[in-house]
Amino acid sequence: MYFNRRSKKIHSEGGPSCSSAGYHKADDEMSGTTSQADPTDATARTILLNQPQNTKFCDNHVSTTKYGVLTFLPRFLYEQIRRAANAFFLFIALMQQIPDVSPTGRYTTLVPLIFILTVAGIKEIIEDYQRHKADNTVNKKKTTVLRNGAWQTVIWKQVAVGDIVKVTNGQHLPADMVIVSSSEPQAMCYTETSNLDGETNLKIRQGLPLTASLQSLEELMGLSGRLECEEPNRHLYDFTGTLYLDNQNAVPLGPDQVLLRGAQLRNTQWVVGIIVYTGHDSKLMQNSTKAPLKRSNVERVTNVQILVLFCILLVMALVSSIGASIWNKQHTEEACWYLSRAGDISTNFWYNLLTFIILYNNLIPISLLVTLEVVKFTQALFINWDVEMYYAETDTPAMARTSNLNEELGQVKYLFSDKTGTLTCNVMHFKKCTIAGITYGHFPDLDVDRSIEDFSPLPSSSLNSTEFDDPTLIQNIEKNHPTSAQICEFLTMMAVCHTVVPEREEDQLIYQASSPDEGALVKGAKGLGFVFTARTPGSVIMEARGKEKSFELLNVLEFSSNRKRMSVVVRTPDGKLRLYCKGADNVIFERLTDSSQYKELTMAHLEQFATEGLRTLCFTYVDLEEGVYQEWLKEYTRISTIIKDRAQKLEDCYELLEKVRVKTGPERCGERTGPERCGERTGPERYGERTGPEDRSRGRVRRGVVRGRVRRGVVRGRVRRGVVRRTGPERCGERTGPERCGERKGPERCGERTGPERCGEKTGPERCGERTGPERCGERTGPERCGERTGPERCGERTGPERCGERTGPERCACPLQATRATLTAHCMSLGDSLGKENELALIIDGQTLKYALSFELRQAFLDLALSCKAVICCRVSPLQKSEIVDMVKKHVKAITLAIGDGANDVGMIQTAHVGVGISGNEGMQATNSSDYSIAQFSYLEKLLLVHGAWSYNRVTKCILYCFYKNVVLYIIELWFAFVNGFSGQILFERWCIGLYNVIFTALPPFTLGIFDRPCSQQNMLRFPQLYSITQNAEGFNTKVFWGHCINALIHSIILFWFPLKVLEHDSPFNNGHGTDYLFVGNIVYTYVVVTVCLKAGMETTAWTRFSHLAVWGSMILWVLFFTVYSAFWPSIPIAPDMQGQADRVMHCWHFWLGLVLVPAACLLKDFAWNAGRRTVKKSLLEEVQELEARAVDPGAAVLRDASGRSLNERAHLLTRVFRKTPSNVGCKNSVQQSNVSHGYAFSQEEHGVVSQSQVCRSYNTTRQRPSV
Amino acid sequence: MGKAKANAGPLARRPDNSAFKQQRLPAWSPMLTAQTVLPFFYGMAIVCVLLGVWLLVTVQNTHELKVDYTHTGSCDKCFEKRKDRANANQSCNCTVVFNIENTFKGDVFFYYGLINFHQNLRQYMDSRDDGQMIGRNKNLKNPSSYCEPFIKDKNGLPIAPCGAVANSMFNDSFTLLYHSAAGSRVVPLFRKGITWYTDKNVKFRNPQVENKTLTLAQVFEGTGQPLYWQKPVYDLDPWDRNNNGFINEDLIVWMREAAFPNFKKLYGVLNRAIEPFTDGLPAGNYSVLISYNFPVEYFQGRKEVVLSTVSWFGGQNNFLPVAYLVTGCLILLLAVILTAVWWKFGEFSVDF
Repeated sequence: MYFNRRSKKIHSEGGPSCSSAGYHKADDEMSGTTSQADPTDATARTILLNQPQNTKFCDNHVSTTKYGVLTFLPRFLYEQIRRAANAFFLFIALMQQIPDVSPTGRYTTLVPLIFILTVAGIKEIIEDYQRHKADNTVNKKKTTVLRNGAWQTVIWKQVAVGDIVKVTNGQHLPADMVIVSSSEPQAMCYTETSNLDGETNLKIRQGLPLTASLQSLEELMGLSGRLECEEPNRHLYDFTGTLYLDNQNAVPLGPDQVLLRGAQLRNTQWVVGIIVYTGHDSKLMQNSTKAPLKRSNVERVTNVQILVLFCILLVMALVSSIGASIWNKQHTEEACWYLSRAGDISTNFWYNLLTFIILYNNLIPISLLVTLEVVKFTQALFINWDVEMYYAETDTPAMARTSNLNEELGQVKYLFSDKTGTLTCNVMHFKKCTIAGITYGHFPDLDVDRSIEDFSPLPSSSLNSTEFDDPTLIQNIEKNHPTSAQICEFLTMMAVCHTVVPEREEDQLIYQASSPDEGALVKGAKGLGFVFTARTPGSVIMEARGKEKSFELLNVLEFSSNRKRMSVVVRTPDGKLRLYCKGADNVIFERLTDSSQYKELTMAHLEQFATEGLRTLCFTYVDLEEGVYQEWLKEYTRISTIIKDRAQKLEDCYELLEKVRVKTGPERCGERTGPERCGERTGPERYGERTGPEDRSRGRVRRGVVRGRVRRGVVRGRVRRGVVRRTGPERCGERTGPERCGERKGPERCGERTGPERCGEKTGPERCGERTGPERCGERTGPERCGERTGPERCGERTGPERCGERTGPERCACPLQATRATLTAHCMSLGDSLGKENELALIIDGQTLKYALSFELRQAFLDLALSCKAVICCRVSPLQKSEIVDMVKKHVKAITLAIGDGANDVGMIQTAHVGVGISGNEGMQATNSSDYSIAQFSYLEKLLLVHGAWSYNRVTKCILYCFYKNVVLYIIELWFAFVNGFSGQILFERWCIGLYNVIFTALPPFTLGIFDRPCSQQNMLRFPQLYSITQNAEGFNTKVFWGHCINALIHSIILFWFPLKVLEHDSPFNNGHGTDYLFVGNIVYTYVVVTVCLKAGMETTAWTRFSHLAVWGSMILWVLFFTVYSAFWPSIPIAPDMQGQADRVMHCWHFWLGLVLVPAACLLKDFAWNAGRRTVKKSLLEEVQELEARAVDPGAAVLRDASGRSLNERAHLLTRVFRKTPSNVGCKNSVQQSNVSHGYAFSQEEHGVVSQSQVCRSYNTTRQRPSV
Repeated sequence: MGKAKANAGPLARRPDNSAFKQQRLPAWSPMLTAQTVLPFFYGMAIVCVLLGVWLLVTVQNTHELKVDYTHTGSCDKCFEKRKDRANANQSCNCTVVFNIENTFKGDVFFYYGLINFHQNLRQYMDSRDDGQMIGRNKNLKNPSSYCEPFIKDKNGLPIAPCGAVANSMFNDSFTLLYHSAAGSRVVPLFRKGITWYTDKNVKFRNPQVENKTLTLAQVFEGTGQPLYWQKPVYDLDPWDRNNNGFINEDLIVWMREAAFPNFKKLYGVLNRAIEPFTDGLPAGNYSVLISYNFPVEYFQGRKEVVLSTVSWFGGQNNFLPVAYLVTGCLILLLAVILTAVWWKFGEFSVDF
């Protein structure tokens, strides 16, 4: 039964194994929709070799900056003025220039506007300066160019098209170039293109045989002729060109001959090439399109509110103008003899309207935009500064690449995650093996019951126990344990059966593997004394425990994702013909004879390994008979010259031999194979790799927690397993398992890909029991099966396809649209009432089916179904589909989506989602570069969302609400004043006081609210993911809250105006009988406003840091100081004559002091009482946590009552789930499922590359010195 | 974005582990719980009520008397006369009689009040030239355009002081008479010291000339008087030469524009050096002799004379004490409600 399930293959993590071909496809799919029209016209560029170019090409200087020195001002102003708010204020500033229209003088808007633009400008300059610096670093990198008959070192930007450039190992390529020759055989070279496409495996490129020999300086200088190629375009994997060398036939050039800018030369001493595209023409630059500008939800809401506020402003202006008209009608010129009505424009309705618009313009907070910009910028800095999101291993801090989405992080409802590499780290180590029924390799973590304390950062007890570490293996060899021969055979196989190229560097052996898996194996063998030392075209040389052995390499039966195995045929030192084979467990097991020993035992061990989260791989070997081999060889030679379907035929041919093996030596094989298949390397590798077992497990657990929390916090997970890898059914199948689980609930398990999925079974009820079980089952058993046990969770959503998809490629096409629809409808029906609500279900769908599900007619049904599930897992989807899904959710569900991924294939969804998070890991920079936030580890997402996201949201919204509040409070007072001054547009306050209100006197509180406020501590934010739902559901900022604040502001403004009015209307507030004037009233009101508004900020503040004190009290003091000084300006400084002496008088007025106590108190006590009352009646969770926190009581108790009324202590709950050990078949009770336990198999290797794997092996002779130029 | 540290090591980009950068700044979190808020509320309520009571008592000890003379008594005829612009230059005197029942103890202030006169209109308020008032010679002859149309007189001479505010200066004058058994006598008023110190000494100055011997009239030569004025600015106070020009205190008082359409302005302060006014205004019969010039009927205004004593915090003002009392009571009410709410819903019973 086990073998029936061919499906589960993990093909290694994301990027590495995805071959260029596979990626190519995805890329094309993407570019089909996302790229603008490419210049496909055939005009070629002609490059002359070793002579001046006829045409002028773009130089190699690269600039990513927004502004130049000269262009800064116009471009910046244009950018700023395009924003509606700034345009509005500019309009006001212009209107103020009309004589007699402005009640506030000519410059009172212009000056703050300029101030604000200056602040914004400074920020832009800082940012652009950093880009300049980065560009400069790149442009000034050094490379070697053939100029004037010698190799000269020049900086990158001086590299020109047609130059012959030499690049040495480890260097980055300065521009796109065509390979001429290299230090390697046949002009081969390895590049790492992670900067371009995110793939970290080495890619082989090869120069033309024609030029491969041109290595010396003279030969290169003698090169003459021309090179024609297409115009620059953005297709990474396309290139067509022709090389016309003098006296030679024209030779075609293809993508295999091209090295791209941004790639890094690896494993190759040097390469010489001709530059074809430079600077912005290079493929890298052509691909660096700007990420679409994303606006946050809060920003959108704010813009709407500003618009509404603008309408209110117009209404107020209109009402006031009408009031003015009425007043003017009643007060004719005759009546108002004391006025100067002749030629007075104040009787004109439209002038009045303008006047009032200017008067009330500040209702729209002028400083809001710049305040928010600075606040968000600082928040982004906090993200960058977070030491808990700093990954020491790679020296990578988190990075907020944009600052305008911070608050969006607090609102995420749907999470889209790429699993491969995202949840894992793509680092491989040889961890454990089982040989002849005995397991080796110490792996304690799951055997130990973890205590609660594990949640706190562990002292990493055993750092770096990364390598295989089990002395018994060696002891068994030395002590002639019964299985010692098998152990040796196993280790030999590890050292021989691969395509790794060894490189000696100062006595250090470095293995260059294009597949990390192979690298891990060879290194593992080396660690155990079986050192692979050298490769020659015909042989593999290794040292087995000190003795050098040479294996004659006869054939390499290449790896492909279809075959899931790779073999070599060698002649052993003692002359035997032997076939070594390694591959996925099911593939190997299929080929074992029935009489093989250790089969059951090995299988059990494998299962155990996989459960631990290790990736597994089996080794086997067989001795071939000379005759059989020769026969096969004949066939092979014939086939390898066939042109049509060669690859396929070759595979068939390989199969022949591998089958043969089974036939030939059944017994032998059997015996041995069992043993040999080792639980080779492991999932944990990735984490494990650095932290040792305990840590690794912590990694996992933590992750679990992340997910657990996120889930609890009601983030809905949607994992799109981006099956990067194109089609290989195997891997997909496999992946999905983990993904889905991993995805959100079984987080832990996803930690490591395979283990997890399996783990489900054993690690915990939670994952398996709850949902994973189902999912998993679903995945492999189809609905029917699932049905039995998981009932509702009909996991096997799309039934046929998924299953078939896995094993039967072709058949899957047989169930197209209709079948998909039928399934969807059936599931929707079966959900019944619970459709649309969140159920404990998981939906699994593969790329094929998804194509139909996303079709227009089925889209809604699919969406309904998907939204009713807790998790949706999509496997084998293309990058385009990933972004399509995100887009669908984004469009149809009003919720914030977040996409996280680390590979180039995730770029689409990262850019589509509201928030894109890139993991800056081993898979290159592509995802990072298109993301909004980049983090080094998936687990940091927890803090990014729960702490930074929630805090940012809280802060930003508070800041916005407060900005509106304070503006409404002050400027509505002008409206009240209009009622007593005949709607003449007179201002109550001094004009500059009005102008500076936002930029000085109340500028600080919004900053402290926006930067330093924190509702509760980081620890508690992390501890109680429920708190996240507050921000998630926008409880802090919605239309209701907004208008609540505005109305509150209105009430405050009424109190703030009418109180002083009543107090001062008697006009004798001094004990010397002196009178007052309007500005006296104005200043008193203004002071009250500043005090009230600052105190209000204090009330909003939940955590008074020293900056809060500074802002609240500082603002008041600032006003008083300003007031005092400003009152003494006139006449020495010719402004503000009417302020003369005001401060002195105001301070001497007892009414003022008495009012100062009463008025703000009257305003704020209302809010105070309201808050206190509400708190008493019904405490929100947040408040409860805050309170407990203040009392320094463990807040754990607070959450015992959670929203749904369930009584749970989250932590304890989680812990029990995570750590309860259950037999491996919990949750998978029936035998079918049990046998279906999947084994993690993964293998990553470039397939169908430029240079075949056997060719690579053949072409190296590492015992020889390589040529150098 | 953290600054790259000088030591480029494997952890070169590690962010600083400072309280600021890690957002662990010590902070005080105020808790708005009933326990913390209630005492504050009760305290606040008590303070407000007590303050209110005290203020109320204080206010009760002040006196204020308003006499509307718009068309009371003999002023009726003047009122009629002023209705006709043609009579603008004719003087008109009238008398209003009133009675003070209780002695006004302490300093007594004499105000004139205007009702429904909008000194707070924008066009009106802007129509002045503070540069001129501070005695800048440039502005004297060349007043700010804000003064339009009160900038040049009929002869084309620049007006000093220019603008609508100065132009409309209140020009009634009063003589307060005390009728006692001993006969009628003029109540002595200080007509100086009624302005803010800064106004008199900083904000308003007569034009400075190099030749100190020039009279004020010569200084103002070449300027015209405001259109509605009967006297030029250098001749406003015939009795005190030093109270003329821009530093005339009545002018200064008028130039402080009132915030509201109903306002009063200080006219004089009782001179308590003279018997029988040493204690203030004794009870008895009084009359005001008014030189009735200021026309208010056009804008349905009213004019009044206000006599008032002050307490330590100013003139009689019932609003403030009442506001305190009301606010105090409201806070008390809130506190009681809160207490009730807390009792019912809160953790009172649990905690104690």
